[in-house]
Amino acid sequence: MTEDAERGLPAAVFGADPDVGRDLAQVDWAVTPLGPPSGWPLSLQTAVSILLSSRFPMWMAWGPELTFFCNAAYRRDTLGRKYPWALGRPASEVWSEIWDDIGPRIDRVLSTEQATWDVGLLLFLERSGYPEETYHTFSYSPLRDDEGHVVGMLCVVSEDTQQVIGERRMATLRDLGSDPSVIRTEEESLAFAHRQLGQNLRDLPFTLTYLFDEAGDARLAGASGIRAGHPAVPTVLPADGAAIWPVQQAARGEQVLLDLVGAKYSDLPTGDWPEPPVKAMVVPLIERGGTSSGFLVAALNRYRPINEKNTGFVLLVAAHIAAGLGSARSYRTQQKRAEELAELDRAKTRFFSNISHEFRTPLTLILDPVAELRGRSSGLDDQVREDLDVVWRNGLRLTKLVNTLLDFSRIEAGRAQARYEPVELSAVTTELASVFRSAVDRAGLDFVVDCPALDEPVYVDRDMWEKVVLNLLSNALKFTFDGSISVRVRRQGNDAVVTVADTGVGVPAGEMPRLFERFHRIESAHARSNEGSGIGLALVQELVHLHGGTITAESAEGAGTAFTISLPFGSAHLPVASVTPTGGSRAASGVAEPYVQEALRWIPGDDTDGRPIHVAESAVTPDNAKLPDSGSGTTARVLIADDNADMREYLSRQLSGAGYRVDTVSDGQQALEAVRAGLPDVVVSDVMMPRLDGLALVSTLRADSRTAAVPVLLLSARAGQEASIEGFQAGADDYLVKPFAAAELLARVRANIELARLRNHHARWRTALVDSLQEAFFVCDDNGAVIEVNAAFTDIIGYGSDGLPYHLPFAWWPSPDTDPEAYRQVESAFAELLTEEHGNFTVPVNHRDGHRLWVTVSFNHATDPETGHRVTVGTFRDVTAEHYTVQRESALASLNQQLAQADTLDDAVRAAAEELRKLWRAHRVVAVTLSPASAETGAPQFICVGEPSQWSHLPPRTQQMIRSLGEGDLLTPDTAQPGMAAIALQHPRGVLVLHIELTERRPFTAEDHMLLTVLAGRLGQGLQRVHQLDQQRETALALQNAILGPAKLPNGFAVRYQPATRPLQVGGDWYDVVDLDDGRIALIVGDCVGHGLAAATVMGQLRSACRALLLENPSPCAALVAMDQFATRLPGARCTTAFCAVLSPDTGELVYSSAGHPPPIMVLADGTTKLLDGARATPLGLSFDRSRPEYRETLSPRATLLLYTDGLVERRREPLDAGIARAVDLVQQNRDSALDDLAMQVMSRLAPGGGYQDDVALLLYRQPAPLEVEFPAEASQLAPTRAALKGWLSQAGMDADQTLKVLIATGEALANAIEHGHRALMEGTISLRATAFAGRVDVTVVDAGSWKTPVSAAHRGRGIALMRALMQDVIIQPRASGTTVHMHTRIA
Amino acid sequence: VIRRVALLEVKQDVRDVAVIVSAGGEIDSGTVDTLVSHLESALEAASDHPNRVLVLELADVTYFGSAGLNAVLGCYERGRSGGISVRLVASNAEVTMPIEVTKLDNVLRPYRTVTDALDGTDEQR
Repeated sequence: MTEDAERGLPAAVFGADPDVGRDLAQVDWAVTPLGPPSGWPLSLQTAVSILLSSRFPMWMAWGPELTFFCNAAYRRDTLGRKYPWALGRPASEVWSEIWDDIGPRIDRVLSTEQATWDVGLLLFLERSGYPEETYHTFSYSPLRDDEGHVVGMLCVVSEDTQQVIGERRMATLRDLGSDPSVIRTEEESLAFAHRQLGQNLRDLPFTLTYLFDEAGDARLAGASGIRAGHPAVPTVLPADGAAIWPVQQAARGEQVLLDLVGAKYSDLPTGDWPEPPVKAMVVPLIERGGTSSGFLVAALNRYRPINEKNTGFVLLVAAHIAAGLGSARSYRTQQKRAEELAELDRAKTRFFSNISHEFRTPLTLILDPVAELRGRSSGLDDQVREDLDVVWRNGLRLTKLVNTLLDFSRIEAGRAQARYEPVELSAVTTELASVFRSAVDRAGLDFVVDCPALDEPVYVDRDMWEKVVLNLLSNALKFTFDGSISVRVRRQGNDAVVTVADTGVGVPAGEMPRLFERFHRIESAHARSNEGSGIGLALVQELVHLHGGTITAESAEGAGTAFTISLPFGSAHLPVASVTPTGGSRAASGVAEPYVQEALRWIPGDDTDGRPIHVAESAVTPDNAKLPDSGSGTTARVLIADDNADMREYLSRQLSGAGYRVDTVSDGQQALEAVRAGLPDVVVSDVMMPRLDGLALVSTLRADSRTAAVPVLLLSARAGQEASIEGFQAGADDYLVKPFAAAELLARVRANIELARLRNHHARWRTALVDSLQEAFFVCDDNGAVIEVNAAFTDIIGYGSDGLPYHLPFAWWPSPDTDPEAYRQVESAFAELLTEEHGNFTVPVNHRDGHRLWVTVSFNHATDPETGHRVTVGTFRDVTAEHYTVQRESALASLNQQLAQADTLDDAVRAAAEELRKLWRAHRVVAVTLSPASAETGAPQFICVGEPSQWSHLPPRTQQMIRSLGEGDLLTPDTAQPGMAAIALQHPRGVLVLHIELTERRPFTAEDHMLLTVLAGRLGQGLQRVHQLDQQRETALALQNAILGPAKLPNGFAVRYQPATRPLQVGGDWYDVVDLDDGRIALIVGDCVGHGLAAATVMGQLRSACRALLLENPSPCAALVAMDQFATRLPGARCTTAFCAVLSPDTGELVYSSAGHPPPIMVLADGTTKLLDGARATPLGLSFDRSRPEYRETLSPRATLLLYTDGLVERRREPLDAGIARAVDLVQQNRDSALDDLAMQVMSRLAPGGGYQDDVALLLYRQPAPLEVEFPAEASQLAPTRAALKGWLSQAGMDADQTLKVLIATGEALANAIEHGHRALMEGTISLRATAFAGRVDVTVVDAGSWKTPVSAAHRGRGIALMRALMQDVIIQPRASGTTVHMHTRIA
Repeated sequence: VIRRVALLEVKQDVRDVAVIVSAGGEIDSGTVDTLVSHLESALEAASDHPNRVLVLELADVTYFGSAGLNAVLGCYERGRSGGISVRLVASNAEVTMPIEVTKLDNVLRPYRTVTDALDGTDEQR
């Protein structure tokens, strides 16, 4: 007799579950209020039986003490260690820790007889030895005894703990990655991260971030959930000391799990919990490269176990923080580098300007007296003369060097004042070359000057051109010891080509690329001289570029060097303002002298006297360093204007004799020009003269502010008061009537000069003041014409006082044709200047050389005290740098915005290229990504904005430039080619080169340089961030998928979930597949309204509810009716659509009901399609009808079923039917694909251009589900396995004949497998998988043995022969680990 | 305990005209040994039989793979070398199909019925 029978137990009561039933049977029921089971009422027996047979977690309580029962599922999911202790005990004792929560609910059920419903209720269970945070969705319903009285309750419960906690953590991770702004600094990055972490005080009661400083100490950098100043939050943790947190381990990159016990951890904040945390994780923040830059201390939730899931979450958080820090640090580094580069550039230019100016004045003061001394014919002995020559020559060399440096700094600063005039280039060049002839002859070289006249003029600045030719000739002479030097001029297409070639030592090939580099000297053992600054050729290149030309060099070591310059004909390529229509003829200037002098000194054995050749000594003085006539100490200059030569002679003799320097002209006009060219101390003028008479001369001089102060002494033959009054009225300072005594003339001249000097003292002081102003100064007359400017004015915009007066519209205004916006801006600002009393404005102007400047102008009205005319006095300063700073900031902001919106790297690169194009008004910007992959294929990845192009269409020179940039330094702009700029930067897939083609040929200024560097740096960092976001997006997706569907799908289903493309967030769509107790399977697809966490929460609850309802009662319509009621009470659940079906896998019978959901698609094996659109009714929570329709359908063999949510098929401006039809076609066409492939096809081919705009959930099933059998390698397993296959083939709709073929073929494969299994390993297992497609069946047999090739006996090959004869495509893959046989058969 | 039905049942019947072996059920590598031992004893019986004819009836065989083929072929060959005419009876596709697709129908030449087999004569090949 069994024990059960002894106790009088009806075996059936606990028989539904052998395990729990046995434990229930062990309970001493006699001591409970329920008594021995034999005496239990039928109702209790039934309830216990139902409880035990259900696979859904349930517990129940019965009787006065609410005696506790539960089933196996509840034991597994919820009860934990309390089993089996809990069985038969009062429920209040079993769940004492949560009785405060659930007791009142149970009382309510018992008293009101109404069921309760709780979703996701937080309960602290002590089932694992500690209070645990758990979430449960459950319903308590009343249980009645045989008389119908409520005597107990049944609880159906599903535990949601993993889902709730998973969603919460995902929200935190998503928030961490959601910062739309671009993080600039580590502080901002950490502050943002900790703000986000502070939102989740359940998982992370508090967190701390420490960063290591240079000394290795850790400094507090951020915290959440804990106040600053808390004893557990020291601001510094010493590297070596026994700090509260494990600094040393973190520095080594180790993770530490800490127990927060002991006094130092007292009074910790509790987060969202009643008790403080007991454990914390310390995770190092690992930067790229693997070093630890700090660490995160994360207090852990004491109510959750410490396992991989929980620590994994903390690791993800730490990885996020580390990534943010990495971003900020790399940004900071790049920013700093860009600023340093720009500062270096500015400093260099400043240095050159200063040093050059400083040199010039003393040089002048040395050379002038030396020139004078050398000019003396007597009083010098030979030794002194030789010494003087040495001083002279070296002074000249120094002057040349200083001038060259100054030229450079002018070009650098964009202040080179070129004056392009049309010249006959051959003639000019020949003339320049001739200067060198004597030196070349003396060196014993042939000098070939082959310059036939060109038929068209070339526009050159003569001074610059001289420097170009002289430098090249000097260079040639320096390196050539025998042979020849040649100068050739030719026409080549639209260019004049000048070649200077020599037969000298040549340049080593390795030095060629640096030939034109500034300060780079080609080290040559063989040169006439080691002198040289290394800037001659660099200057030549700059000067040629200013002319819009190019210079190239070809050289062969030992054979010689040839420099070729191409200059375009005409003036179209030059800034209009700098072009002079006619050229004047001119002798070679003093520029040549130092070159020739220098060259002559190189030639050995030559005792040259250093005498200047054809050059006036005075011209040697640097032209803009002329000392101003500072007054008393120097000789006064008198300008005499008289048409009578005798008179001129007389006056000149008298005044020269008195020690004045005298210039003479023969009429008023000449006098005017002479005065304007250089102010004399006094003008002595006749009244009666041709062209311009004396009176007119006086009034013209007086009208011009520059000449108004020059004293004029009029001479006239007309005596009398009126004549003198007329003269004085005209503005003459004195009046002398002929004839006059010489003494009187001298007295008057002297008096006037002294008077003028006195009177002009103030004016000079004013001029000096104005000229010394750092700001540009100008005066406009009442017509708006500029009548006075100072030196700074000229320095800033390139227009000097020699062009005064300047009339409207000014030459420096932007062109109304090419830049109308800037023109309007300037025009309206200037109108204000004329009408308003005072004010200021900032406008764009063009420098004389064409480059763009920004100036801030301040102006005031004044009245000229002498003329009474109203004038406007203005000053302005160059704010180009500030302007570009603002521009840079706004360009950065704009770029940041673009980067924040970009989803992919290509989007980001394209947007950035477009920003650059707009910023520089560029013709085209190309972005080329050079990666190791592209190096192999030859064509790099290419993005182009502006004028379309392709990589293969770029000129080879540009391709080369891009490739070499990609291999060179990053973030270093290359602007060597005029009109182009390019820069390389880091790209996650390699190196990105941005290449800008400017529309205008304009210099790429230092500001442009810096801007490009900063933008490129920012882009590089932004690309990393986009790349990271992309990866984070994938992580988020994986997490979301993890909480969505069932953890393990039953065999034969494929599911997909995809959130809307942007913004990435949790959605309200779901799918579910539930194994029901009777072998049937429930399929659910639903769609809650809205997005975001709220919709996801509703979704989670509906999903759980639907699952629970179907497990309770496997009826789709009953489930939806119950969901209706649930939905009316759950905020946000109304209008949810759902499709709910129950499938019998063996017959293919499908019972379904739809709550307003789009109809699933069924495609039969023969391609017939059908929509499951029966049983359609309203979405959930709208109808109060207690019934819903239900419909039956049979999935015929090899039919495919697709359930989906509307996001898959819904498109704007298109009826839903069209989208459904598209999906139907796709499933029909792919009905012979594997389900996973089909799912992939559906998701990718139905996706609209910009990605899915709404969530998509889909679920695919094909009848029958694949057969999967695993069995031990024993021959006795063959028959049952074949039987299972036979049953499945019948479900798959195979006819008898084909069934037999498959059975025999598979039987052979199985028999072979067993044989292998036996041989290899006695315990080997064999698996059989059969899969149905619309038109075929696939069979795969896998064993763990090695396939034996059947060669020995004929009968061994018979099995394979059978397989091959009966099935198609039999593939046998023998591998070390086992053998796989794959075969299939078509179904007609 | 449910009594397990044997997968393969083999009966031997020594008649006046011949020794008749009838097999029913599934012949695979797990059951073929039973068949082989029956065929051994039947061949012995046939060698003592005046007519030296062994009829092998497979009409009730529901699975017949290479294991079965090899067993039957072995029996046939041993019979021939011992001067015994081994005649196969099978018309069910479960048996004839594997014989046909392996081209053994020329060798084994199954008869449709036992009667045909008893009437049939050996063809010397």
